[in-house]
Amino acid sequence: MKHFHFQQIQKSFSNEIGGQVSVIDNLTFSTAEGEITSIIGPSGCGKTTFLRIIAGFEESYSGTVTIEDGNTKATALPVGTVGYIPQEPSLFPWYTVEENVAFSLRLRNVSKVSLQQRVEELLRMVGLEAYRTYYPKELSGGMKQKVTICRALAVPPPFGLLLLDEPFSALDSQTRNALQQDLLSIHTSQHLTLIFVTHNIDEAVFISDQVVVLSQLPARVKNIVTIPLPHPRDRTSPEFNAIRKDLLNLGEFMH
Amino acid sequence: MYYAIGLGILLGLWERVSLLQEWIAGVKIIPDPISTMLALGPLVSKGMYGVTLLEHVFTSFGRVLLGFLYAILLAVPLGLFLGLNKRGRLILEPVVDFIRPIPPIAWVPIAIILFGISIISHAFIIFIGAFFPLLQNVADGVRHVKPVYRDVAQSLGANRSQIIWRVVLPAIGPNILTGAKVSIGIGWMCVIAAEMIGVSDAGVGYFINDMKNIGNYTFMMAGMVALAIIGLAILFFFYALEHYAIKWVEGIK
Repeated sequence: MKHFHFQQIQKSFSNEIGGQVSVIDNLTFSTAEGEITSIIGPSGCGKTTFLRIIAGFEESYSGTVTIEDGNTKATALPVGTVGYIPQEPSLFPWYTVEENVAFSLRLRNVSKVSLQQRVEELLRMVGLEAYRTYYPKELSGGMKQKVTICRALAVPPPFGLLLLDEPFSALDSQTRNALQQDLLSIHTSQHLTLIFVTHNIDEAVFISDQVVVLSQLPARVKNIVTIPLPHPRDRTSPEFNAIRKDLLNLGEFMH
Repeated sequence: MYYAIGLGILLGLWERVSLLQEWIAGVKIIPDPISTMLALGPLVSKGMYGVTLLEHVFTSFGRVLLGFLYAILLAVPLGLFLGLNKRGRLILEPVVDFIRPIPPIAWVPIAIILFGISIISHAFIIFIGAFFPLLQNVADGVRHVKPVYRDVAQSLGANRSQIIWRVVLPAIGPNILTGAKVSIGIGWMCVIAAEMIGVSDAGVGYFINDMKNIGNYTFMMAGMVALAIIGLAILFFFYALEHYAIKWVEGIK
């Protein structure tokens, strides 16, 4: 069983007047293979920067990212080894649904037959197999996010780690609930470990095994709440609401 | 429908003007639309001095196409480079800023000295006119490709050249088309002007000027109408190209 450890991650940016602004300060937590971790915290608290560090985009930071697998240990995850879904819409508008999903497969010169198979399999998983030839402009917000997830998984990320940066924040609440459900089933069927940034507490409680609550800038871990409830979860059950309430109290910053 | 009404109004106005000049000044310099349209027939079939109007059109068009192709071949890679490379941009910016304001027609003497009176000298002038709008559009386009597309491509395993081919180039498709539209328009202006100031002995610009010199104003006007028709054809060609090549862009069906 793999474990991912993020230890004492620190990151600062230089501002215009030559000073240093600390964005992330001593951020430490771990997650095990197959777990879903939500990261919540006030807007602009460095959540995105943290995900970019794990995704390998940021070079100058201190602290360690370790993957422990039995006795073997590896440090840092280079770009291209972690699935990454950014906050902004990121489907390539000039490619069809099919071409978007096949992007990483094409880069690796996968044969046409297995490419078609994989695309078909993924689109069927999210119920969009009828939209292969559509352009992103012809899809709804929810459909776009589903295709984005498929694209990130076309070549399965080597460590099974998928990072999602507020992927459903632009969706209406009904679509959002449906997509949370979809994400949970994708998580199971594709054997993924998810790190999910959100500022929606309900969403965090619905999907995660643990919720990492971050503080105001510079981000540090304020608390880690584990959620032992079994799936499928009932958003209206007393247990669910008790955890929501705890989190709301912890994050009085939430709006 | 509205298109037809608009054209009708234009022809009506033209008719009025040509009547008015006769009535007020007693001369007929501007021919009326009907005789101009009628003149197109013999001009296309028989021509003047053994050269048909179509041959003049092809001569001019060939020149535009040649200059335009060179402009695309040079402007797209250079624009990519300028868009991707900040230092390169800073160094080349003054060069571009210095050369761009010189009107293409001002290059006619140099073109004649370098290439004589040939298709190359014309193409060179068109190249000068077409190059800069293309360069500008491509470089701006590259700079405005959303960084998130590059990030995602990178996280999906793309290297730098794959990002250029599969992300940046398709992303600037609309910019290339816009640049091309502007450039080809400028190309036409350049070729007609160059032909008129006597860099050649053929082409629509030469023909119009020649007809003015011999006082055949109907044929002169017919040459101008031919230019309008070519312009429209180019416009429709670009519409078709947009439908085909960049149908993914919001607002293009």
